Amino acid sequence: MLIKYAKRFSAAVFVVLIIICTPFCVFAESTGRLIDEAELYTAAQQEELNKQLRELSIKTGWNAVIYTNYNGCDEDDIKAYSNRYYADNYGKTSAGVILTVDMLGRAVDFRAKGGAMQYFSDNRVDTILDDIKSCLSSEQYYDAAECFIKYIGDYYDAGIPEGESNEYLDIQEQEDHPFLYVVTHYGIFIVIASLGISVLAVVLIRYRYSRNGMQNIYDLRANSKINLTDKQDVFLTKHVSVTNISSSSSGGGSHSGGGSSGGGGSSTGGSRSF
Amino acid sequence: MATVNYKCPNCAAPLKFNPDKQMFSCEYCMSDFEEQTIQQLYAQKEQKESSGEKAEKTAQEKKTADKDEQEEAVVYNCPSCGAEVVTTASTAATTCFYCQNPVVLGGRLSGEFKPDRVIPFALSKDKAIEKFLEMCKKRWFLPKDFASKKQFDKLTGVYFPYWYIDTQRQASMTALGKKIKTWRAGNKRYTETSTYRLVRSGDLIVKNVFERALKSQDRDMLQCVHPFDLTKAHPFAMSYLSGFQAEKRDIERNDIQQQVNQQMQKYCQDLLKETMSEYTGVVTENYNDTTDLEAWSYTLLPVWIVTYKYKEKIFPFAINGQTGKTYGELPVSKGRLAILFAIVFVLIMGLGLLGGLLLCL
Repeated sequence: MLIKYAKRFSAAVFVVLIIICTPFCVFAESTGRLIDEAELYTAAQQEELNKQLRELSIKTGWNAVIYTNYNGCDEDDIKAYSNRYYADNYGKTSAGVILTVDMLGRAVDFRAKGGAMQYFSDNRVDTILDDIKSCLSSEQYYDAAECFIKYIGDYYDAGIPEGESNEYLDIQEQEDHPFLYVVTHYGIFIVIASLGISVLAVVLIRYRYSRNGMQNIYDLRANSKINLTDKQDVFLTKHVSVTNISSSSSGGGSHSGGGSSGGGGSSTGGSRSF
Repeated sequence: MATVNYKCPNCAAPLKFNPDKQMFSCEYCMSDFEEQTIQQLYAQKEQKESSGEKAEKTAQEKKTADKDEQEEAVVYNCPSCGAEVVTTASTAATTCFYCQNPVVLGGRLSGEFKPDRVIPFALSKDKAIEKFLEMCKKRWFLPKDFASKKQFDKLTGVYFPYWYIDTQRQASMTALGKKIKTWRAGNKRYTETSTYRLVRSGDLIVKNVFERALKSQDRDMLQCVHPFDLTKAHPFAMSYLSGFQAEKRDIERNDIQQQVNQQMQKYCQDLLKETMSEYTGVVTENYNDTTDLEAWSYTLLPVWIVTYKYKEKIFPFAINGQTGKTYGELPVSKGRLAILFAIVFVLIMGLGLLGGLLLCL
């Protein structure tokens, strides 16, 4: 009986381990790929861009992805969407770059992930996005893609920039190492709360034991009777106050490169409208 | 000192009130007697001893006029063995320290000190111990070796004196109360606060308000051992005290009149406020009352008391001799508290970390 349960438990642990490890195993090999859901490119252009992306991927060792669509994300939403898309398809910590173009929302996002993040300072991100935005605004979609591939290759060759600001770098420790994130960010509060509640529990027990039998010594209702001879409720004043209800969804502004990644892990990059 | 010693009509052995049977029992010939039988049998003797006691008391008062009665030690002769036994001035019934026979000091509870009613013990010593141990079983944080039967050798049944007060009053109160209504329109929340003046007048009856009538015992203990079911009270008869200790009152009506009046006023205000329950933030502006009737009743109530020594600290306990309700501070096991602390700490830590992780994922 015990062996039967042990076997079942081992099998369950194995399944859980497989589920946990899957995202880290599937995307072990880097790829270069164009996903043209917006159908911006001809078949020949697609073939050429795929070839260039594969070469870029081999050269850098990163995933190199161009993804066009009609999802309707605007400048504020596209970063989260791009992050999630990359994480779902290539793993949230694997090194790579992705250019996301949303033709319905008229927004473009560039994102570098994993080891590629260190190569893209704020200046480099702005340069890439400004040029790509310019191409997209003038409907030169192929040029925009080539521009992306060229800049990535060049910056890879130029190496990691030194002394340049990297405010767009959005370390998503929360998603990459959630336990560590919770411990480092909220650990002290959790410990204090745990200590507080534990002390409270002990004090409560001590208090209850020290007051054993002090409750319910007289039941007023059972020992009383009231016969009202006069009852008047005279209205005096009325006052109405108004308070604004703050919306829980408000508070987010559009800022390139900042804010939440929406569950896609650490990244650097930026978004633009075109 | 005049005493009454209740003896079995069959064998003349000491007779005690048996809480389980609600009869008088002889432990030697195993006879049981109805309350009325014993009361009739001893009525004449009780009266005689009471008058004897009065005369003796007058003589003693002359001798010790400048002495505080509370500090006075009183000597009596045990009617069974003749030994001299010393009691405090308030003791009305006790047991001879030498032959263990019950003795009732009749005069202590006669005349102006005669109680109006008494609730006889309904819980025998064994049942009182059972109730106490039952209570201990429900308290997980008690030290493991705390509740043992041998600790209860000194459990003593005592009739304590109380004042019970019933009152009928005409009371009136004015107060301010609020009704609050909230609603939401768009992204705004509206709060409407209506203020009312509330006027209430009425006839109120408050019954069975109690106050201890003995200074020497801890007030909290005497008060908190309540409630008692007063419908089970009997007109006072000295025979109920046989086999138990009893104390006579040393707190008079005048000593507590003001305190009781304040308590009554508070109860009356609470009752009037209960009629304003649909309002919030009720603030009393004015209250006054007049007393139509007030009845005071001097009552003896049964309480089992024991002093419990644990780890050099003394814990006095009282057990309601009618219902078994227990009163008294309980010691707490430091080891068990440490376990509780650790469990709660780990649990909250775990929940906090899990909650944090769920928010991250």
